[in-house]
Amino acid sequence: MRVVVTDAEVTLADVLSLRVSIEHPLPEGTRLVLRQRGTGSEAKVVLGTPGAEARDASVAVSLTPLGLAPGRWDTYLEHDGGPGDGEPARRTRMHCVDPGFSLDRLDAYALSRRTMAYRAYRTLNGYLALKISPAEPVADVRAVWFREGRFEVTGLLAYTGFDDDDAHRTARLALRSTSGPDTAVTAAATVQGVRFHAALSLCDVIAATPEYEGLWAPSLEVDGLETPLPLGARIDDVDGKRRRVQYPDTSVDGVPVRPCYTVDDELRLEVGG
Amino acid sequence: MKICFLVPSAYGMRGDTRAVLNLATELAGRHEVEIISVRRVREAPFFPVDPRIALRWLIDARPGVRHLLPRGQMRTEVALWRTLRGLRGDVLVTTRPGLSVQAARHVPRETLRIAREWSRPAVPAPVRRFYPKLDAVVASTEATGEEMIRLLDGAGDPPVLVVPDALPPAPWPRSRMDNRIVSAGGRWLPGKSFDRLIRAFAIVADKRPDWRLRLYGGGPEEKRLRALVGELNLHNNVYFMGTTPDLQGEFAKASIVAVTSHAETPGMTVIEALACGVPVVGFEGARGFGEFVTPGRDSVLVPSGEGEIGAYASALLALIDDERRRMVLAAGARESAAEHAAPAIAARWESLVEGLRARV
Repeated sequence: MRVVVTDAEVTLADVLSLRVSIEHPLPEGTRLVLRQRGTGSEAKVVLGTPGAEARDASVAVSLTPLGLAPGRWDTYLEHDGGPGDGEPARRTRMHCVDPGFSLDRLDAYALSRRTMAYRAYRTLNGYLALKISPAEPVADVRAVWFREGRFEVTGLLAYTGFDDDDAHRTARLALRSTSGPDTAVTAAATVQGVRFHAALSLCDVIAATPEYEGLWAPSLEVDGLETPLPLGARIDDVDGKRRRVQYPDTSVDGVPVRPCYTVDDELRLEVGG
Repeated sequence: MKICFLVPSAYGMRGDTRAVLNLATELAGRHEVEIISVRRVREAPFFPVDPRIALRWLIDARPGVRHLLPRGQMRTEVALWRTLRGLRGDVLVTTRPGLSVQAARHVPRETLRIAREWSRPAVPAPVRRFYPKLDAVVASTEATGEEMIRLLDGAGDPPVLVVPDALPPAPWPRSRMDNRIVSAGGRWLPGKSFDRLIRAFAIVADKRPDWRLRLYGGGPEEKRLRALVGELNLHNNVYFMGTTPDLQGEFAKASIVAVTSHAETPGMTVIEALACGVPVVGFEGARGFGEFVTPGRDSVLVPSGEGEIGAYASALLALIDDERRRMVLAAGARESAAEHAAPAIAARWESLVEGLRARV
């Protein structure tokens, strides 16, 4: 059986919503199978509306009750082999022509407070899959600049549960050395709704400690949130920003400073050679 | 029928390699298909090869592999000569003028020998001398076909035919046209002129800072392009996405595909973009580009020459601001791509081969 997903999306309520184009109507008892890569553990959901005489079917599966572990999950449709007992169930991997997400909807999805983030996507081979990752409040970086001796960063607050309105909140950008003494350089930041902007004088960073060489981790302390937010860039499909984004370097008093990303896409400031 | 494709390398990332693999995959459903790669440059082919296709290589050119005598080019010559002399097949398709000339000289006459051409051969003399021994020349575009006819003095021997490149088997990914992304793909070579695209995008990013440019591919220009991005302060807008075997899937995330190539024929990139339903913006008069698209239906053409970067940026901005037009072009693009569907192209090759065999 040929199954092609023409529309795929994980909605704001964590429901996997699919529109499927099929050769034959789905037989009764057809199941959607999610299979985790690596471990091979499976979750099955029996689909409703069996036997509908349609070439297009809509499927909606709530993901939270399945208790899926973080990772990547492949999707299959499974139905029983035939009238005879003992025939093995037949399983079809689902082709997909839809990218599975759009960047604006990912931003909207990240507005609510979540512990788990689900995203549908199309694999390199053209099949539908799910990416599940743990989610915690984070400041998602959209742009950085070096301007007039300052390091500026702007972006969106994600998974905080804040509304995208005009409400102002007080916030501070703090820069801590990842190794070495626990000193922090802080500067005031602006948070309006879920948008943030912060600027930090690089001279302060250099002056903070004579042992300035090394990586510095920025974080955003927002009033109303218990823990400071790390600065990352994960709310899109571009993994590995470390090599994919070409950030400029600058030098302050002869010391080179360069923003960069860690392997798991968190922003760092590299000071010194 | 046994069909052999002789290619310089089936292992690399090139549009023509992709095109040959797509055609071979479709033919493998009905025929015995073999791809002979002259060089093996890496462990596994960059693009996936269908298991029904037999793939073999003549020279191991993986990094770190060393050979005793004969060395270098001589080793290739000898291996190629031995393979061609002993070739047993019904059809041989050679994909470079250099290989076609050797096929004309050495392959037994029982085999139907066809040269596949994407552009005008750089060295015309051996082509003029040996191509008449071939059974046919198949060009990818009308312009290349005319150039080949001119080169062969219009003698009609061998016949010059035109069959376009094939797309991978359907279903093709489809863009939703709702991401603010301009994509471009290809090897990062000077001839592909990605620097002009980055310069034009600097003007776009100034007016529409929320749009991003994603560059797919890899190559010797990378360092220069990265320096240019730093120089133009575009680090927040330009992503160097690297190579991917699924360029179509990535194009399907974009709303516009940009092609700025002047010297290099950008064939596969353009067809793949159209198949995803993404409008293409390219330069007028660029080699071959105009032949893959119908301006106004699936693409926008920008006049090249003085002020071309400004004009290109304006064309991008006009398309960015006019969502309706983007949608119309996207629908047209999918229609245009239909004629490149693998079954249709494979059928044209089959009837072409039947015709040639009847002639012999």
